[in-house]
Amino acid sequence: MAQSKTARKPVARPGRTLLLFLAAVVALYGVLVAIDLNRDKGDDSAWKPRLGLDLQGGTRITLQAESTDGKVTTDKLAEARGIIDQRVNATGVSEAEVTTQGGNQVVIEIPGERRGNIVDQVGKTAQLRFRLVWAGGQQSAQQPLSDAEAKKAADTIKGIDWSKLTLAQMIAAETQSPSTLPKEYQAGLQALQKQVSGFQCTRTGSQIDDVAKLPLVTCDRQSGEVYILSPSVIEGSQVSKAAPVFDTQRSQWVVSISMRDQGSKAFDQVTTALTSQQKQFAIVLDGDVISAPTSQQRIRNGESQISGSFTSASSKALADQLKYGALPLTFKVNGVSVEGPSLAGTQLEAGLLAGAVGLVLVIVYLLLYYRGLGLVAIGSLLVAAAITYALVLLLGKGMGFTLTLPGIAGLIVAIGITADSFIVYFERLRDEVRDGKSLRLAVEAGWKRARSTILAADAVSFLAALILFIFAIGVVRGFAFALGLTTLIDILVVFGFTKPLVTVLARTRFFGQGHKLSGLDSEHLGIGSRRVDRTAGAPSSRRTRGGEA
Amino acid sequence: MGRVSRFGQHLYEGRVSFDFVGRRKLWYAISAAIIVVAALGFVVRGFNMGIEFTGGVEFTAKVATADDAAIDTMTQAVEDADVPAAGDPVVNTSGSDSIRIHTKSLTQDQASTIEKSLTDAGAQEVSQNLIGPSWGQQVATKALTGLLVFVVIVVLFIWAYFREWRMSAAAIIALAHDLVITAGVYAWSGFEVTPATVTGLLTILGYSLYDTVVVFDKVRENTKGVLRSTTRTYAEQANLAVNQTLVRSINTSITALLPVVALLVVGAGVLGTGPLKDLALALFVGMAAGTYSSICIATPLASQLRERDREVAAHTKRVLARRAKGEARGDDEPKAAATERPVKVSGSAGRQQPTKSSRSSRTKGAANRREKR
Repeated sequence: MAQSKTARKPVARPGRTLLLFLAAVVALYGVLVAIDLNRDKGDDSAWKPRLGLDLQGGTRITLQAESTDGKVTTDKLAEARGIIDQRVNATGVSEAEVTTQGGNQVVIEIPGERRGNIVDQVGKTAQLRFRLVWAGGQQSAQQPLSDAEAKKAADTIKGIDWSKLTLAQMIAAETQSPSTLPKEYQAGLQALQKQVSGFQCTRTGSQIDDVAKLPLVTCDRQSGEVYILSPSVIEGSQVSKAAPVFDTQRSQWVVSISMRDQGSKAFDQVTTALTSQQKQFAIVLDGDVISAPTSQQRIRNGESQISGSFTSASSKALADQLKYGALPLTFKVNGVSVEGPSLAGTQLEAGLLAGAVGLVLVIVYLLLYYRGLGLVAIGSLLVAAAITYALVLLLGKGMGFTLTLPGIAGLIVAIGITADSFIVYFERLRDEVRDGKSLRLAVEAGWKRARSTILAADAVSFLAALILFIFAIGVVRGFAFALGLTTLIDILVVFGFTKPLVTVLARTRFFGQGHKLSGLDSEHLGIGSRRVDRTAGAPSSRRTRGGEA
Repeated sequence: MGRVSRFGQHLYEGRVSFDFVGRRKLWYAISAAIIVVAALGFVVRGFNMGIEFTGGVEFTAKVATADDAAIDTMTQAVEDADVPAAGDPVVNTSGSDSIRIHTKSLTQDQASTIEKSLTDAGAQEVSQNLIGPSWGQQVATKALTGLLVFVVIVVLFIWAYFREWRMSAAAIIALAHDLVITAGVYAWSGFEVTPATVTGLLTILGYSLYDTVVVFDKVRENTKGVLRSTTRTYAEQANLAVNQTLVRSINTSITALLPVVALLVVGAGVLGTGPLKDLALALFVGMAAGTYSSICIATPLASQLRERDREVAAHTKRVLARRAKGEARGDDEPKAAATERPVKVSGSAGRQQPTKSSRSSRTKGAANRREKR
């Protein structure tokens, strides 16, 4: 029979496969040893997995992006991530990790430190805009508007479509007078005046809602000067560079700005019109005027300087605001979690304990049920565990993979899936023996059947992990990653370790002849008195196979 | 364990057989009843959504001993913080030395105020978890997208692997069955639904299908070429497959559930409420349901769908007619025919196939084999 022939063919040197596999595992650890020897002082040991915040304590801030024009693109998010990263570092936090997530989120992770308050500095919906000054020099009001009046004024302003205004019209409103605006805007201007009359400028007042398309009443919190500003003429994202520079000629600190193409065109038009009359424009960060410089000269190429009574520190602060304030997106705080170190330690211990208990339970069960064969299963589980540990360490070094509590849970759940591959194989093997094959033949025939089942089942499991990884957000991804990783390791171990080992063992007396403790003895298999190292008698075998093929 | 093995041998030979496929109406009825109860749970009880879905702040305060006195102290501390936005905080113990406090949505400043007040009241360490209201919405949307993509891909995968749309359909129905039951347990028990629960639920997808694939693989093997013989019907062969993989299914379930139980016990015992417990609980219920559905729902359903096939239906009729004839004559005819026919062995069918004639002849057959040896 074709079946038997293939089965009888000598197997491609199981011993060698086994040695190669074990050599690969040893090599994996060799790499780790090399990393450990070469590491700089102060680095974490190569033998310690990178732990997630939930296991070592720390702060995690999740910011959700909302674009003003409704589109959150990968590029914009990546740009925002970079800016936020700089801001976090600027607050003096070391080792903070800022990553994007799920296509519209930025996650800040600060290990070991309790810095929930940092959200106020970095998560601020910082939006930088350049606006024209339609009216300035007003003083802070004594009395705020009544709620009804404030609402009426705000509604009036919102009710007008300011986006129809051209840049030239907006400039004319500053250089000549706001009354030059078309008459449909006059009601809006009155409402703006009304807002000014009740505008209170305080150092720590509530944030002003800054909408690009609308004119804005706001103030410089340092000087207390209240302004009526035009709708945004240049967005902060047009600022490509900003740096504090010491102007040696005038011996004072200035801030140099570079604009991107679109911004520099608008800037050219604005400065051309404003310079002749020494008019101002305002730089607005999050609704606050951070600077309202007077235009001194026409800026054609977008390279300009802001001068004023800057010190080294204040010029740097403004440059940073211009640079980092240029977030292309607005952010909402989606979640802040602060994990204390001792609670995190408890979580780590609990995770490890659960893993150990789970592994021991499975080992005991496998031994009881499969006896000697159970040792193969346990060996395979331990090899799988060793590979998993090495890969977690290596991926931690190479890809920044961190082990989180859900990740540990994924590894624990994977114990079951790994054990199942052996169970599928062993049950098939036993089926073949029951069918009348000798053990040696059964090892091969059973494997052929089990192989496709294991591959199909693992493929489904891996698919699930992959999809979970792609679509999940937050710590759930750690779980999916762990699950997918162990599924792959499972395949490796079954092919490279379990199967060759069983083949080798089947040649030994203990297993091959069905010793009582091997788990392959006749009684254990329930095949009556037939010895497992013999095939069943030919007629009987033929007979029992005589089913319907 | 030897007894279990012999039991496995008997199952394998068909000497002991549980009629999973034939009694499908019973299994369907049981499942339908459970699903109705589960669905009622959605309507009557609803889900106890965690703060990850509703938004809010969760403080975990570490205290010397988590008892009623500690709860009172911490509740008082929240009130003392004088943050009206916190609303009525929900305070309970978590593990032996932690107190969990849930409040409504707060700003970071308000949360810090409360945190300080808790520390002043004697908490050794305070962790906080502040979640914006849109977060849960996102988790849910993402999970749903993942679910849909997964189902589509798996339908295609199973179809491609088994070349059989009916198996795809049966597997997906079994999957829905597991998810509904797990969700039902959550609704009735009032366990908190957190992102970890959703993760668990999504993992069940993989596990449930994994289990189904293993059983289906055996069904495919057993039913290969069944139409060319007249000894057994398609349904009988499918049922045999389920019985033959029963020992594996039981072993797999046990080895898969043991670590999950460890997670559940340690998660709930040491940490109290938390992601470990949430995850393990969803997995526990889902895996148990998954094992049941692979055996009692997926296979009978796939078999039933297949039997509607005209070819298969005609074959079943032929087999039954032939068997009736054989029994009327009171001889062993089908079996003899099968054994004496030239055997055609396909790649996977070179194995003993249990007979399904009368019980008396079957035992005789087994006895015969032994005598000949």
